[in-house]
Amino acid sequence: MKYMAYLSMPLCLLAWEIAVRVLHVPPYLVPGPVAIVVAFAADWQGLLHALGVTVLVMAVALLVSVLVGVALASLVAASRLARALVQPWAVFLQVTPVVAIAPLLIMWIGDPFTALVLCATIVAFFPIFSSTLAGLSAPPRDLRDLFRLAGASMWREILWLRLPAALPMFLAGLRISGGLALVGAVVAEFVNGTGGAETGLATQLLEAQYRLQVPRMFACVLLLALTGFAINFLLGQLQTALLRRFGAIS
Amino acid sequence: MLRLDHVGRRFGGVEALRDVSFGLDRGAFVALLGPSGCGKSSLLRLIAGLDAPDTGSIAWDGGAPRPGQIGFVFQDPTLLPWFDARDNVALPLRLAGVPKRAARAVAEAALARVGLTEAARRLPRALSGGMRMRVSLARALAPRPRILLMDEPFAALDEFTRHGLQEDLRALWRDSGVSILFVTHSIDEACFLAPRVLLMRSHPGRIADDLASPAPRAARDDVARLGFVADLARRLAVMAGERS
Repeated sequence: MKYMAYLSMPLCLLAWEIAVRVLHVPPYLVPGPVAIVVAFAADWQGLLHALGVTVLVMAVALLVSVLVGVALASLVAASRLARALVQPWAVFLQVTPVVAIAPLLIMWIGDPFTALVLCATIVAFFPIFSSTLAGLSAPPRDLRDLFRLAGASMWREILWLRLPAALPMFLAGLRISGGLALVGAVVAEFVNGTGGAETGLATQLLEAQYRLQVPRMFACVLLLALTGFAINFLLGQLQTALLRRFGAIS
Repeated sequence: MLRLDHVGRRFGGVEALRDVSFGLDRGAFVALLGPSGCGKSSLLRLIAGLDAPDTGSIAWDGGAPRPGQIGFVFQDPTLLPWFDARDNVALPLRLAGVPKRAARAVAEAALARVGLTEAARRLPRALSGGMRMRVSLARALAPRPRILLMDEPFAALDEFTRHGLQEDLRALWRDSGVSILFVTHSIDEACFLAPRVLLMRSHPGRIADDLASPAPRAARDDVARLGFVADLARRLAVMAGERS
């Protein structure tokens, strides 16, 4: 069974290549894997550079989401006033499609990189905020009592008890946000359109679409999918390592 | 040292405690014995100040305890999994503002008192259930509390570990002179540990009897102590019969 997981992808690619050749499907409709690899090889440096731009937007957005999400979740956990002020806006950002507000943000901010980061942050922020808040709000009652008996201040309780106790929930949210940050970066690039010196992979995808370079489009999509896999894998490794280090799993 | 007068507590429509009155002398070891759901843990939370009574009063000689002056041992060890044993024991001291180095020195001494010097740097997940409970005990004792409140701390442990911890707790009480209020539903445990047993009945929770052990420091198989165990078992059976 273990080997099937590794074999399924190459087998599918093989079946795909055979199908497009046998059925004579034109490459501008559905290119085979070989045509996609050829398209990637023709401009691998340009595509990887574009991927780097998208990944940079995603990484900065994820970092901002972590900082803002954890800080706001801590504030909301510590204060009812903060909860009343922050939570409706957090939900508002979550339920509003980023494609609806991205044009406004891009227009207002001007600097494309900052605008893209902000759009991706809006998409990635909520899972981190909500899962961290859930973790902060639910430490075991006995431990809360222990801190109360010792006369701990609210902020010490948050730093020493609630934040570490929220780590598993935070990491679960981070893993979701990692993928969403990539989606947010791609969507924002789509809205931003083509142009500019530093264009990301989504912009390359758009350009390829305009020029009917379907194999190149597929190469962009596959690069994005592989990046998503890599992000998920790395955040999964981080999750396991941190939970093991801080005693949550053995 | 501590006096409860006509303490009552309701939770919604349920009367958990009614008219509970008793006193606790400095250095006493008192067991609070009763069936599950009779309000023992609720009473302990009231005494700790984690909850407030609806009626009656709880008075302390010399004023209400300051933070850290009440040691609490829960049924679960409730250790922070991200701190090692030493830092778990040092936690109440650190929360009270004691510098890290001094708190750790006190924690190491407290761990030595419960026989865990070697385990000081281990995380809780690397400790057995009995060792975790010893760490919890050391944590409660480290700030030198005026009173130690223990809420069925050994209930989840196997019999061998439980007996060992009971022996250790008796020795720690004799050595430290701390007052202990020990909640249990084990007749044998109450009779072995405490010179005085408060028997509680349920629905609503109240003190049914205040009994002195005829053999407070006796061995586990002492005849007088076993007679006390039988007497308490009879009383609890009568209470259960009255209820049914």
